[in-house]
Amino acid sequence: MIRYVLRRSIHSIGVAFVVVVLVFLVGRMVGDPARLMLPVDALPEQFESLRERLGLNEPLLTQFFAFLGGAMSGDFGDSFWQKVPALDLVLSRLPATLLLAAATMAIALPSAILLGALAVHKPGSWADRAVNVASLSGVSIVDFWLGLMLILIFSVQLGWLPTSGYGGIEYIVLPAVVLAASPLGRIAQITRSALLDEMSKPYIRAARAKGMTRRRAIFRHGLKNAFVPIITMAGDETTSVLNGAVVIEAVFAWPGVGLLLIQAIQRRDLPLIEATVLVVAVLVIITNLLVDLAYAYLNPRIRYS
Amino acid sequence: MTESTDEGPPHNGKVHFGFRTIMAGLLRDPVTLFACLFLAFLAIVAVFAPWLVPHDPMAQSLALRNRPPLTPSENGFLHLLGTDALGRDLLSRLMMGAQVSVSIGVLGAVVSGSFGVIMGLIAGYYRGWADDLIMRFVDVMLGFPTLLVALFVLFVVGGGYVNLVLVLALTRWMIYARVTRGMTLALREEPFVDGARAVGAGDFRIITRHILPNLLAPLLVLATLEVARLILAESALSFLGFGIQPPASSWGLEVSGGRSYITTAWWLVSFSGAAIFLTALSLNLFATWLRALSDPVQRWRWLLGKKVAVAVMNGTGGPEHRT
Amino acid sequence: MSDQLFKTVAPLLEVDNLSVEFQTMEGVVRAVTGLSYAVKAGETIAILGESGSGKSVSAEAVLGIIDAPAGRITSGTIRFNGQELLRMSPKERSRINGEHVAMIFQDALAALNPSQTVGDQIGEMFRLHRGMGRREAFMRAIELMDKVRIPAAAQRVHAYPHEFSGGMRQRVMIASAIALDPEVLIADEPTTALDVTVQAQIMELLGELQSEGNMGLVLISHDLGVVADVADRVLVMYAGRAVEQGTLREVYRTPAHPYTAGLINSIPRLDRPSHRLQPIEGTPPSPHTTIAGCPFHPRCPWRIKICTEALPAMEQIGAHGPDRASACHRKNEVLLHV
Repeated sequence: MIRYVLRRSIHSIGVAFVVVVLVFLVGRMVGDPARLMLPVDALPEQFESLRERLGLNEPLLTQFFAFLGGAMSGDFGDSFWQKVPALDLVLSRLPATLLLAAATMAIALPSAILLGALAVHKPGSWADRAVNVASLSGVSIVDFWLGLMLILIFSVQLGWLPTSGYGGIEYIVLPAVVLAASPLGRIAQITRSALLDEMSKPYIRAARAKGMTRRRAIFRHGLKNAFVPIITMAGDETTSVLNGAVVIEAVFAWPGVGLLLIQAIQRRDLPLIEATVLVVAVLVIITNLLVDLAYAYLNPRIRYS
Repeated sequence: MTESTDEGPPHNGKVHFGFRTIMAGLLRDPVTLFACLFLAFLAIVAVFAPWLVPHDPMAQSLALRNRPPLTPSENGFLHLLGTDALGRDLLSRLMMGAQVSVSIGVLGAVVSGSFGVIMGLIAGYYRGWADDLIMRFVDVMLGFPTLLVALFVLFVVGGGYVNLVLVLALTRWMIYARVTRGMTLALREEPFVDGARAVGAGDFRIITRHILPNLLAPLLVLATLEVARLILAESALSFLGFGIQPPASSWGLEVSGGRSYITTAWWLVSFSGAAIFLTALSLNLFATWLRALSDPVQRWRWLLGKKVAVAVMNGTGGPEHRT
Repeated sequence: MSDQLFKTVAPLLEVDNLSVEFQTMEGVVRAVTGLSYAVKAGETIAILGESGSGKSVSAEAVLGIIDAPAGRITSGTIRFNGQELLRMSPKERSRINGEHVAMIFQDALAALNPSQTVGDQIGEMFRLHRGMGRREAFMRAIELMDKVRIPAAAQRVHAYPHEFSGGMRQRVMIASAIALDPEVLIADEPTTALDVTVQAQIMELLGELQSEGNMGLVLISHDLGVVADVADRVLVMYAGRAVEQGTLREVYRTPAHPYTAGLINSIPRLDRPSHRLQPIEGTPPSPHTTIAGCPFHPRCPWRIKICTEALPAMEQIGAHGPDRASACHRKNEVLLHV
């Protein structure tokens, strides 16, 4: 187990490094940061002074190491928009996004697993049909459209919930529900198909021969062994939740890192953009690492090796 | 305890797979039928939009701004879906938008698919360091949220139709690579590959003549799913303002345009978004059906009478899960 | 126990005219047709046949674990202690499984839950049926592991199935099966996946446990030698049907069906001068095709015209009593041929 943990951790660090390289390449090499950040009609002197400030006249390799060092110590320079260290700005907005992601998964994951298990327990029932609908809708859903439609119905017409913003629990309901739609569909589908796979395995039939009811076989034994693909999918879905958060935060004016990224791009604030992208990347890497570790824990053959 | 859930006509179970049985099967499966019809309709609109539009999509009308659906217009035709803030006919704009959104989806899938399949073939066939390198890269990029990458790169290279297609393709080629590699790995061990080598066929010939044809069916299913995904991604980017720019029209752009008027002119957001949703839904249903048809067991079950969505969803996952 | 004694005791398990069919891509497959047999307390009946003969499916039918929805029981009754199993609700059925009728399988590794300790799995019998708590169930599991002669039971009770050898895994499965003293035990190819030496040990264990618990034992196998030590009665199956039945001696010494005769003749013998091995010509019929007349006739050296037209029924052979039967038009002649 220890060896596995070490191996995965080193792998994650490697991935993080590659990400830093890629962000640097895209930001500094493909684009000319000075031209990106200044308006088109800026004077040549302004370009030059910005280049000096950002150290863009240094050799590329020097720039890279400066960038790398900065990334590792959390220094991305100051945001041009807010005049504070970019990283601070990102970190201040991170909790809002994490909260939204947590609320989303708290809604999606238990409902999806329950729905998938019910579909297997009673084939052809409402649960079975619901899983079909949910999983198809989940991959086809237009999140910003659904968000706007729900705002139209629940905030404008019915007045039950606020249209946007950040505050008490009523502000997180709509954004989280909209964000949860897609993961719910996918996780329910994978739960059902993974469970069906397990249920056709010999040990389940042997368990039924022992006198176990189908319900117990599904919920106590099948689910536990089917957990691996479910957890893996849940981990993947967290990435897509972060993806969807960008759009949802824009629709609902939710002050998280997604909205920050949009605002940074609108203001052409390269250091802030870089900081946001890297923080999110690290978040994704950590999530994947946690999923790997959970997988190892659940699989006795790895846990005790 | 043993339940039979077959709903088809009574017979000894042997079913023939042909045009008539497919048609019969479709009639029994209204959901899939709807998807096929919608996609056919969409394809016609996307190709022939400029000739099919009831009104000029650019023609503004101060008098008929934000009019609800079925408002009569100045030249006789109804504004079937209403008008937008500048008095332009929504249906016509959506039809032109179809051209943009669908073409981006298809082109994006073609570009990402071509690149991804080539990478996957190289990795799967030659193995060794090429395989390691490519798959490492794939793993890293797959971990990334698509939208963030797209936003970042679009910021750097600028927007516009071509860049949009390229950036979207950039974020999705990996899935083709992974799937292709997996299948190539399996196929290269098959006896017929050895046979081909024994008669002197070179690598290129083996890959193109022997391995690639076997990949076409699953790749087609994957590509269909990817077109849906790309259309959704483009609409999100255009909605946020980083995709297609006015005065061109894309469905996502229409949704964001109608956003300010959501309380007064609900149809602007509703119909534009519905177009995106129905397209994505139909593509997903169609891909599900294709997948069912290409797997002998599921094909048989569908022809016997089970609905596609049920038949496939009850099976194991599609290409994305078979990595 | 003598045959006379058997005749007066009511059977524990009665299978009557059982038919099972499966819906497949190429059509309907009739896995079992018109199977009937009975098991009494303390009696061992061996169901012999090659793979595809339907022997395992018939066992699965008793436990209600046939692969649905493809598989269906289309006719027949299965009675345990007079109760009709096929008409029970799933819940009632699950109370009978494990408590009164138990089953062990060929592949112990596949039949055990890979992520549950063996102690948990054995103890689960008590938690399921007797409402015991976890600790107590665990203690009983250790006792059972001792009973089936797994060494160092108290430590190994915490181990996982993949940490055991094949023979030990089989013992674990047996321990679960006999945990609640079932009246009937069905063993589906219990030793096929094991080494020859381990085979003998397992069969011996089964024999002991059977006489201790006075269980009815149904042994399913393709191996005539393996069942020869333990079986009282034998039922031979071919292409989903019973073709011959009788006591072990009767069937092995004087087979009354060409298929049985062929099986016995194909076994190499140490006590006879060695000839070339005599296999049965041909191959078993594909499960999708239906053959007119007797299903064995294409391979049968005794075939005559009527065999290709009329299906022979399972009929008593002369004066040997109702439990000695064969489904062959020429059974009396086959019987007398040595």
